[in-house]
Amino acid sequence: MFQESTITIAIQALEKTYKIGNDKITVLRDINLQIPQASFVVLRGPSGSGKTTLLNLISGIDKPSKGKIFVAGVDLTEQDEDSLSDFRCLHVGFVFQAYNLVSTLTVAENIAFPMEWIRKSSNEIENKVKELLRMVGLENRANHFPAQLSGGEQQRVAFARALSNDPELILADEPTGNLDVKNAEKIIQVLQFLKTRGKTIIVSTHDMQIQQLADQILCLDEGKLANSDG
Amino acid sequence: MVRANFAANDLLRRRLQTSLTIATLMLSVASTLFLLLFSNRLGVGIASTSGTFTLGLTALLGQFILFVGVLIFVVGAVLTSFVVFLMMTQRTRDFGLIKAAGCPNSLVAGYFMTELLTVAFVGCALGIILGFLGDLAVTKIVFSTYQMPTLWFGPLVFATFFVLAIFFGLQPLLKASKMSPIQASSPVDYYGLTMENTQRVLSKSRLTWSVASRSLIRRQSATFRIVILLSIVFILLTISVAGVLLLRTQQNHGLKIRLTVKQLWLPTVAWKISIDYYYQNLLVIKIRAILTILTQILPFQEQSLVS
Repeated sequence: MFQESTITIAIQALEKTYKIGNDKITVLRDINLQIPQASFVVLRGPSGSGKTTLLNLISGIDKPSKGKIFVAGVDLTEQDEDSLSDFRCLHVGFVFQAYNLVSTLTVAENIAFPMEWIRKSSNEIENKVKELLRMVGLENRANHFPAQLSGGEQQRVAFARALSNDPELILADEPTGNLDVKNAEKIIQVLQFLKTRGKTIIVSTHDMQIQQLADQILCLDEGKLANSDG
Repeated sequence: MVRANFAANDLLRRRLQTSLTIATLMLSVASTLFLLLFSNRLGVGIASTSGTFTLGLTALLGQFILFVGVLIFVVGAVLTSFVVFLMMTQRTRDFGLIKAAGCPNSLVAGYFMTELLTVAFVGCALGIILGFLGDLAVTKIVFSTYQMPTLWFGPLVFATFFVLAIFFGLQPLLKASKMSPIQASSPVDYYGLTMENTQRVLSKSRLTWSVASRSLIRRQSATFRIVILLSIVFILLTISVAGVLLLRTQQNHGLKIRLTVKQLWLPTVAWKISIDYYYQNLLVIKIRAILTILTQILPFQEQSLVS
């Protein structure tokens, strides 16, 4: 259904409204944008401007109230929950702000977990886990549980997990938001590496160093796309 | 070899939650089976000595045993359903998080279904074994001879509780599988609690209830401790009811069914006193009423007549 080589994102008249009690809160309104393949896009804006919601909608984790989202020509708003799950499994690597690691699995198992979803062989999984652990510099923490890691280490595990199925689209929600300078530096190195590999990357961040990597910077303000620099 | 083996690892590494759920299930199944087996033995015992009873009393006691059996069965079933439902509802957030990370819907449902089946099967199976062992132990202590129990009670109780556990455990799973990952992992919809449709000031009692109910279902370990306490109360209730029945049977066997004439009069006397109390409502009447009841009960052991 989705063709990896043509990952391009097109968003048309997107709107997202949450209903809380009798109140309606519009988080995103009238968003129109195009993200070309293999581009590095930074989303910035004040807290509550809708950055996380936009990332959630692009990944198919959430559904819009109005509008269309096309990824590789396929309209995500027309897909059912099963198709969206498959889409995320095969094509998207999402790095959550709160890491969302499985607390009962070790670091290595957390990274191996998504590869089991697409039934990779044990050898393949083992080699990939080693490669990813080396990439994020956590070879010596393979058998530790998330609760035994620092925030920066958990964020790096989240990156490794997001990359385990080699997705074409990588979404990262404030990946350096909770980290110190040293740990943030390691995350930026990973992002630089992914950029050289030709991945389509969308990062929501306030980090100036990450913004320097961007091909396109999108500014959100009160749910609207304020301006875009590229 | 690196493999996540989520269902197995998750069950084994959530030791406290898994063992508490299995223990509660096991105790519910075991006490239900034990009481069914034991009341069946007592029922048979009463039937065999019914020649010395009046027909009405035999029927009354038989109905009482049946009532206790049904009551214990219902309490056990409700407890089992509640525990399994709670266990799986608490996994809604995990369901959402794993799905958000990219796990296909069917696969993540499969992981939690495996956990549910394992816990339900192990809990029910251990409960059946414990129920039969309890029956064996109590029967050997109470009666000198041991007769094989009615074996078909085992599969009946197992099947009932297993089906109940799966049915009630599946409800939160099905609900979570239909939710988007954001909804499933949202604190607003967490554990099925949704926000009020209208925002209004809550009354004092409503606020107390709201705070209490939310704390109850969000504090996982505390809730499970309460469930365990409930189970213990349930077990104690079972044992005490069984004990009372046992005492009665022992007396019946040992004293060749002793029944006091006064004991049979007791309901009539109580009725008369309540009528008197209704019309006169005096302190003297109250005292007399208490003394009359005490005189009916206290000499029960000494003044009993052999029928």
